[in-house]
Amino acid sequence: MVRKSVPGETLAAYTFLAPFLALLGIFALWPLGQAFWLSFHAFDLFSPPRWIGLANYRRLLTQGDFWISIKNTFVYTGVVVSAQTALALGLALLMDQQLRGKTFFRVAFFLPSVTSSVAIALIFTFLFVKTGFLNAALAWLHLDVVLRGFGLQTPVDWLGNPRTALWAIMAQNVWSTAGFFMIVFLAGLQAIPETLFEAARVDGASRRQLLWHVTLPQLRPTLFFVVTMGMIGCFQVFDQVYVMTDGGPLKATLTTAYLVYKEAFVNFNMGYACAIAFVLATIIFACTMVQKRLLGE
Amino acid sequence: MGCEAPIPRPPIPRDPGRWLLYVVLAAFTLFSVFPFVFSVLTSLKGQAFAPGLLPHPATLEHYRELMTASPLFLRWVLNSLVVATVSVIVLAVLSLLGGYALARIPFLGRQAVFILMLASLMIPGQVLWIPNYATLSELGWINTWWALIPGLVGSLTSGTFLVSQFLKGLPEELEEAAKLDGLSRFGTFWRIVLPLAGPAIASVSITGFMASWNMFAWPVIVLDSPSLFTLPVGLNFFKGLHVTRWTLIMAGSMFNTIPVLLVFIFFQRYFIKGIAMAGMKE
Repeated sequence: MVRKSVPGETLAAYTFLAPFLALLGIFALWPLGQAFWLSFHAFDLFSPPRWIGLANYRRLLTQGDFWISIKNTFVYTGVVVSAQTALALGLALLMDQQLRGKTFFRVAFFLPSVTSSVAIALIFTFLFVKTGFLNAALAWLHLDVVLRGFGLQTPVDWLGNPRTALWAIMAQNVWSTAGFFMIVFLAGLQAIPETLFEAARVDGASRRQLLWHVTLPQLRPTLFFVVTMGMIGCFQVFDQVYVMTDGGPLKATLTTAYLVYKEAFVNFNMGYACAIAFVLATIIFACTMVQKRLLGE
Repeated sequence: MGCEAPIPRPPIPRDPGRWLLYVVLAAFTLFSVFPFVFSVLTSLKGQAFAPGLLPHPATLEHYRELMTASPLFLRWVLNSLVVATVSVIVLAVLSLLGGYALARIPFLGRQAVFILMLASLMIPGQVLWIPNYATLSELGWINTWWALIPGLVGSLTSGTFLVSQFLKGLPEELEEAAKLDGLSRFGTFWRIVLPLAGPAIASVSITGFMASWNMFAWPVIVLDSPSLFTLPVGLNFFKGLHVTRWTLIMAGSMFNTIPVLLVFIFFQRYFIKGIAMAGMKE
């Protein structure tokens, strides 16, 4: 549907769009360019930016903290995205049928994803403390033996132990997003035309064959959406780290987004922080493109 | 409508394996809901680590302490309410105006605006933190509520997109008739489109409320004075003040959690529809 634009109409349209475009320009598009420019400067907010060429990028490649944060961010994203996608898909496949109390389940599964990240982080910090519920429950189930088998001291100080802290935050993240993505999968499942299943059934397809040859291929756009959204969210994980661990202990939960914050607003290395942020943005963009190749049409 | 007999729902099959399904669903429900229930129960306990899940005797003493002993706490709740109310109104109005233009007016550069707005949603927030902070400090807006604006531009963009997708799904005949009758652009928007846009307004308002009510990273960067904090920032600050007072912290987190849960439970229909409207189409 291509219609000719009319000059008077164009003016009207931009009048309607003016506030939105102004805000978008001032606080999202222009600063993108500004951040790129700043990444080649030394900048501490108080004195004017000073050109230093590629020094920020060179520094980042040789700084241990940056690489630690990249490793943590990738582990975090890999584990959380796989776990939440598998859990969400499995549950959606289960729920995609005539069920009693569907609305109830839907609301219950959705609750974590609408709750503030800070409130959730506080609740989980409390669940994870040494004398907290998680350790008590594990001991009650006699699972503390397994933990000791992994060489952990029980009761475990989940957020205070460098070996477990990142995993604790990951668990919290899976908990808070799996339900949301389940609803997304469910919407995707219900959009698959029933005729496809009927045709396959007429051809004598088994339940398993239906799943592999009809459901999952049809679900590909939804899978792309879920994996991409999950990835984008995980690569930028910040709130939980800020509230639960401050990047510690021993940098075990230092993520790249948190490092940007620390360099910019604690150390006032703002040019350097821009360079880190740009590398992060490039990674996110590249991973999205790879996803698109793998799962997109 | 209303005269036909209701269509009977297909009977729910009595497959013996089905109980397993309900067990799995119930387990996941428990998994989803337990942390909330646990935090409510803790907030009612006298001591955070008192044995047993149930508080006995239950006490409201921590809530009373929040109200009386920490004068800032109610302030934060109020701050969040004010910020969220203003945000929702502004987001709804601006999204409707922009979304209408994008959906209905054929104008020069429409394609470009569309591409720019979708591309802007892909910019990670961290990249914008520093230049936005610099802009705001030049404006003298750091440590004021004006500084929160950049934190909501993403919501405005997705809201505008959502409205335009919604309007594209509505038939255009009414608007064309209105135009023939000599109604102006704004008249058409005000008298024809607005009354039909209810579900889109609801979705934008609800998601906007949640975004603003839960916003944390940006406010924590730009707000310094405790008296200006929104509730999530305040709660985190509060945690620093009362490190091991878990009963008090859990009681405090209720003020953040309960409003948003109520909004969600009452309006979940629009909420889920909003996801379907904005997601994956086109």
